[in-house]
Amino acid sequence: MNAPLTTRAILDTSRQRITERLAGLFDAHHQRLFRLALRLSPDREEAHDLVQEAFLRAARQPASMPDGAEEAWLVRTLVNLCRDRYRRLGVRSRVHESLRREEETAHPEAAAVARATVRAALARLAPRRRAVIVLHELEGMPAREVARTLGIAEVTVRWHLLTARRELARVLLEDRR
Amino acid sequence: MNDERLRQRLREGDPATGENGLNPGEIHAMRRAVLAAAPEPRRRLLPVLALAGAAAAALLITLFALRPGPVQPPAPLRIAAVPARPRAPRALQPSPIRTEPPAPEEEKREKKRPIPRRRHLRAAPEETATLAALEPDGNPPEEIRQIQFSTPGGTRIIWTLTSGKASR
Repeated sequence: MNAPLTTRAILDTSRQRITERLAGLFDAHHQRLFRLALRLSPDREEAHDLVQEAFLRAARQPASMPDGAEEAWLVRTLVNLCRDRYRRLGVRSRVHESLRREEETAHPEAAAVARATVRAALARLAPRRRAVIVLHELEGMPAREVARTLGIAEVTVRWHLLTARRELARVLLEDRR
Repeated sequence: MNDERLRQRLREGDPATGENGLNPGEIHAMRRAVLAAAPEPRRRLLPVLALAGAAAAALLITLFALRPGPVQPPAPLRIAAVPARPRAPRALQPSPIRTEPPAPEEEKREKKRPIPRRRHLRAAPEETATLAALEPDGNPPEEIRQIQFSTPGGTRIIWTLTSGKASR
């Protein structure tokens, strides 16, 4: 026998559906988003905060996520959060980053030094350009897919790639010489 | 060449390589926070919807209350009718107006009677006859009615209505 169709029952069902969708999205994408956040942010704590904030935005506005393109929406939100944070804490984080870079480069382990160097070089890029180079070079995403994910034109992606490579080469490759 | 070297360099120093990702405690806490932030769907809209429904109902009630009623047909024209005396006695006792020959002065006055008065006198019997013919009953009763007119000049006109027919 079916339960009576009351307003409360309808709302409960709707809420349950939203919760299930969010839980599914979180389980499917949180690791990938965290990895991306680690590449885009200066430290682990900030990466953690970025991922949580992206999922919280999804939870507050579940209807804004298009069906079938949730992952792209989450990535775009994460990149936008990075940009907001970059603008808000721009100067302070850059100073902090330079200090932290000096600390880590003093670490004897070569891998840690390499990570610190790359992280510092990425931090010099503007957030969107950083996202483009990370998605394309580190996550292996084609330029067209990067454009679709970030909601920008493919030609813009190619321009960001060109500029980012030039800036990174100046930091990473000249440092090695 | 430079692009290949740069890619190699980036992958060597990938910031995500040395990380283990989120630990189970972090995942659990974050998951719980995210699911708790899910909004209660449309519950916030319920008061708004209730208000809108009440307003619509009030509007409908007002419209029905102010709507004009069905148009009443005009009251039928009624003309005073006097029950007629039986026909036979009237035939036996002709009217003194008809029997007496009119005086020459009176004849002249009748001939020079103004036209508008005559028109006025002719119009009413037609309406009466029409009304009599439009009696709702299919078989009109054998009832005799008389309608009498008198003009200011002293002329009397008596109409006898029998079974929907008018006769002077």
